[in-house]
Amino acid sequence: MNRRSLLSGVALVATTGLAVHQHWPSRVLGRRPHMSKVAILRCDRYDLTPRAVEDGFRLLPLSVRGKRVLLKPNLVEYSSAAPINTHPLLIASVIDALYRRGAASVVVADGPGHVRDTDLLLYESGLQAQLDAVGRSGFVDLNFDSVIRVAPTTGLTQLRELWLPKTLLSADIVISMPKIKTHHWACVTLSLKNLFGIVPGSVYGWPKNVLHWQGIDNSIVELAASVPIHYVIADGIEAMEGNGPLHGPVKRLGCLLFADDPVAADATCCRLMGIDPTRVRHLQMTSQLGNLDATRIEQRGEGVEHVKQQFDLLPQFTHLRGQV
Amino acid sequence: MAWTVKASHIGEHGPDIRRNRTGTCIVGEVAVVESCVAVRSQILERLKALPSQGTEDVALSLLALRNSGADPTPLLRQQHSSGAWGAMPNVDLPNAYHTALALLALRPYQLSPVRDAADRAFAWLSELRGRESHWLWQWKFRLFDRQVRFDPAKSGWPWVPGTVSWVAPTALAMLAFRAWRRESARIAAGRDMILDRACPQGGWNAGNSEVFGVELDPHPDFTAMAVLALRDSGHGRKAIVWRSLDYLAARLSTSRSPHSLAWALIALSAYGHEGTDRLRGQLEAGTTSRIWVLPPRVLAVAALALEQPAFTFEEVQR
Repeated sequence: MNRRSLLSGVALVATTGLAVHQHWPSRVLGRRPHMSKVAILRCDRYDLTPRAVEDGFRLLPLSVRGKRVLLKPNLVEYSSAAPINTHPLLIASVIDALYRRGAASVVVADGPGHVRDTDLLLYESGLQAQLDAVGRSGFVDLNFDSVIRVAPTTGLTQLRELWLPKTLLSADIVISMPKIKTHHWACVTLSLKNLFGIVPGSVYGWPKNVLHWQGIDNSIVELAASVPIHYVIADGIEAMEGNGPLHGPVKRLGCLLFADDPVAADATCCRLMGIDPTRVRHLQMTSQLGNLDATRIEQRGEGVEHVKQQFDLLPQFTHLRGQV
Repeated sequence: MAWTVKASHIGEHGPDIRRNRTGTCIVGEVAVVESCVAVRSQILERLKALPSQGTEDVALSLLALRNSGADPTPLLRQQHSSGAWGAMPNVDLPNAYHTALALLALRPYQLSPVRDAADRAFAWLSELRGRESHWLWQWKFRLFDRQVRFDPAKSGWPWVPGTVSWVAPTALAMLAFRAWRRESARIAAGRDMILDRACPQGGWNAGNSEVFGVELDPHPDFTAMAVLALRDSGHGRKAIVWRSLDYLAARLSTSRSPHSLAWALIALSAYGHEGTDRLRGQLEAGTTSRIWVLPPRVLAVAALALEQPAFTFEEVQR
């Protein structure tokens, strides 16, 4: 064996080892429920969300009496031309509905990945005006919150520890409120990818480049395994297709989606977008955490077949299209 | 930690406005100047009473209160054995942005422990490079990862080890080297990296000007940091810098967000840009109306922005 073949062999073994290491599904501790529940509600205008949210909670009840609830919307940056963020009117409707159901407190919290000046984003996006109007709910900037050390559990990343916000970890109920969008790195950004916003920018920087270097899919799974999402309310009234999460055109999907399992929520959102969720890598990897399989998802409200549309995808993701 | 302040310093409003270097808070416009002084005084009083935890809070407060007897010891205690600072006292992940900010905050203090701390911090900063500076990653970015437009040969400082260079930590590290009069080839390299990452229309965001063929939008605070870093690097007259200053003045023309306004005002004042007076009024209004809820880091940078003569990081003195 000469030196070249020895080096090639070592490189091959190392690459194979890394590939196995990063794909090992049993590293994700299973907490998949036997069945998950998802409700789809048609809603084509944000001023109609108070009624739609009430209907959603009736179809898929959530017990919040006496609980501290944290809403995690998707706040990235503001553009008047693109539907980037979870709509403020929807967030306000959810806050109102949760207080009516007896929540002890409802806080809206996020750590935008691109901007340090969250105040500016809150004002320009209109979220601050809605929070002021609702009056009972404040905003916590997770980029600057106190942090607690959390031990990673999956081994999918090289991170020895995760520093995560105290406000998030002390909430009784975490509701992920993604905007339904395509994503140029991860194919889709839904309730699980929305967890990137909990990683504090003050610790890791803007953008949260540590997560990219650990692999976006691996990082999504690590965060999903570390932080339980108890409920999902996805904003699909105005969604985004193509070059998301910032520059794609609006796609009027005209629906809200409620779910008690983030994996089932994201799988169903993918089906609504004309994407096969079983081919989306981070969803494959989270299949131990929730139900990807449609036969394990109890569908309420509108049927997927009646609401789904074909979303434009960047060329690198067209092979992920599902049956529409 | 609340700041301990000598009683004799309370009520000190800063230097004589007649020594104004930039002319942006013009002698003669008495109402504007009095307003500046009064608002800044309120902010400093609030800052003295406010507990600070995170390194950015502590460092910027120390800088804002440097003429009010503020003690650098709490900031020195947060330094890691490596020489770096992390974001918070309990976080052992070193961070170049916070390390540079701590160095800038400590610059006015001519104490032996401060100089020792600075030596160790500069040693740590000098060793830290963006991951793209390694030939292997340069090769990867040139051949495969081409969706993000940047020149991987031009690197500065990452936020944390193991990641690529970004605008904010690079800009603050450059300012820290210059403030302490430390020579380093990294300053010129950082300048090249920042110029490479500028948005084509002017301004900077976190550090990507174009992704998947789409030009990205600049952000005010990162833009302000970048133009401040370029000011004394011989590139302060470049067209991109002046386009970026115009962007700052226009972008924030109706904003009342103190963080962005304060960083923008420091940058515009450093260049003597005509947009400063209007932004100063907006900053005063935005800060005083929310003085009880704003965190120390925002109050402190607002106080720095309202200083007369205009505050500059490189020439900061007590």
